[in-house]
Amino acid sequence: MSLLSRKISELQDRREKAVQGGGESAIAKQIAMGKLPARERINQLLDPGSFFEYDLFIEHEAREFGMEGKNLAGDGVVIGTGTINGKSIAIYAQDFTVAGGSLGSMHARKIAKIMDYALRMRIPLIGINDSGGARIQEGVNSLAGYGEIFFRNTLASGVIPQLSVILGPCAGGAVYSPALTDFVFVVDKISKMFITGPEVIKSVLGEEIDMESLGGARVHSEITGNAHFFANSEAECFTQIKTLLEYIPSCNECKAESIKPTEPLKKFKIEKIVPVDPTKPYDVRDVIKAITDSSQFFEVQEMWAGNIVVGFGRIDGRTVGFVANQPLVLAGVLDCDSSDKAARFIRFCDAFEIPIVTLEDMPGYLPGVDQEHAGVIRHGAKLLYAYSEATVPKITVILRKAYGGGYIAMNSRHLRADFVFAWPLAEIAVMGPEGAANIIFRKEIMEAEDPEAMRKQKVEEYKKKFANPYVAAAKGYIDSVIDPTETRNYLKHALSVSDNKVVKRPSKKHGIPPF
Amino acid sequence: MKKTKKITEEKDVMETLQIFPNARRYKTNLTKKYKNRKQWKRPDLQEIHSMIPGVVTSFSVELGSHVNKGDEIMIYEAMKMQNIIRAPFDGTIEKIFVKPGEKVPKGVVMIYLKSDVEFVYEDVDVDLSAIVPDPVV
Repeated sequence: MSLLSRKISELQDRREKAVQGGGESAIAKQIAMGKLPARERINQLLDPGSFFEYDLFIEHEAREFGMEGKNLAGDGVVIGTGTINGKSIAIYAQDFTVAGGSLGSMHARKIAKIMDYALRMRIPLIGINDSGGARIQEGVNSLAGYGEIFFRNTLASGVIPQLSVILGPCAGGAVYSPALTDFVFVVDKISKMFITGPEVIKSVLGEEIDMESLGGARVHSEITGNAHFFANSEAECFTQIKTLLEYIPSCNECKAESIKPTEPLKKFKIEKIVPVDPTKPYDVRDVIKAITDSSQFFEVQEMWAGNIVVGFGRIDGRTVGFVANQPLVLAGVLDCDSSDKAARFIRFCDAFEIPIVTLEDMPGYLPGVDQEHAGVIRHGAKLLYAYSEATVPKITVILRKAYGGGYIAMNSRHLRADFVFAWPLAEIAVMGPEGAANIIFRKEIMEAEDPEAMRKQKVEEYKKKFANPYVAAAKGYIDSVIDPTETRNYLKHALSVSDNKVVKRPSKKHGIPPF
Repeated sequence: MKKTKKITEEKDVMETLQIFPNARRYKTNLTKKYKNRKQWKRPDLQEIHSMIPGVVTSFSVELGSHVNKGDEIMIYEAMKMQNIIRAPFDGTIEKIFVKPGEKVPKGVVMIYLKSDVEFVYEDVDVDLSAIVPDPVV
């Protein structure tokens, strides 16, 4: 055997040993938990044969608590670059089979390295989290590692899309990396996220709760809003990641890829979806599907704050971010959670040059002590801020109700919408006819012989005068009153004329959004 | 003019807070929000609550009727919308706590829908002892 082939065979031996991770029994345990090993996950997510791994031979640095002399394959994390549907991405995947995927200093340094690559190369970063947390034996070095990751997450925010995939536990400080990224993917029964676990909660506070109810995938998708995409299996989760990447650009200075335009499906008849009676609910997603190419709509945070719908679709082949009130849930009101949800999504679209189409049909802000005390003022302000701040093309279609503060917040002309269209059903006013008539004609109603008849008459009077789009149209607050069937055409045109949109804003270090 | 005296005594009574089991206890003031926190209780999914304050318009079912997932149970007017409440799973209407025309605050149990299949709460715990590295030869 020549020296060269001996050297090559040594490399192969080393590689083989390293890619075994925590060894057969640990891998068997991982599979028994319904989870895939780290490299298998990467292989399933990326284009076949496209993955190139780095830092395979890294060694950990811990010298205390009996750690010296121990070999942790790759220090519990796999990093590399590859492609998904031909698009370059950078990825890291924590390997639970190696010391529980615990984060030591070299583990963190590997993650930091691939994050630096992603930022420098301007390609999306995908992080697969499956880790028991900090490696206690490495003490403050482990904390330093987390800090380095969080800093890079913040640095890369708004420059490259960052996706966090929670495929196992992600506990303690570790949760803050996903929280700083743009999209969090969770899988039922597999993902667990919390700051303190059930055991600590039980012994300190006496509250008993299991991991799933505390921080399972469903909890983060339905209650906390930490997760953006919920899947029933790892395979479904990978499909979601691939779909998302088709809609978004690789960096803030690249454009989302346009594809060949297609027409919406014929079964979505836009003029038949919205009931004329403003008290009748409907699914606003059907309106979106009646507008988008092939009626495709990729919803973000589908299970949380359902009273507002956000997500991606295409019009004329190009990616558009949709924000729509959902009359089917909580009558489509704005509240704390829906404001947070929409504001975050708008900021993502703005950062990555994705035009925003707003479909409006909402009765206003949700009244109630719990909302006021939960800080609906502070949360609602985020929505105003996000819309005002956004400089991408912003188009609003008022489908039906646009009342009060909600009218202003939902990308009105006054927050610098580029185009505002309204359907003939639209009611744009400071409040609903019933409430308004009761205030304006209070005296007349009280003094009338038959106050109830007078009230009805005044409500009708008000409805006729103000509950329509023409008062706002007369002021130029809306650009056109359109037939619902013309919606897609108007949007197509508005998007295409906004292509070279330029907005100059006062220079500043950064704004101060009401976090 | 009536003079009011600020009550400062309350501030001096510090309480203790422990944030890790079997570890240090801290003397500190607790926030109002912390003191008023509610103990977590596993929600009974068979209770159908009012999601916002509103008025019961009508029922599409009767006591004892069987419904399938997605069936309309009742119309609940809130925020000037005739909201349709649908069955979240297959079951039988076991109890109705409200009547048409009734004003209902948020979070009130309106209907008890007995599920056809019993809910099982799976506790999928993770063995975190794996963090301690196995001795590798």
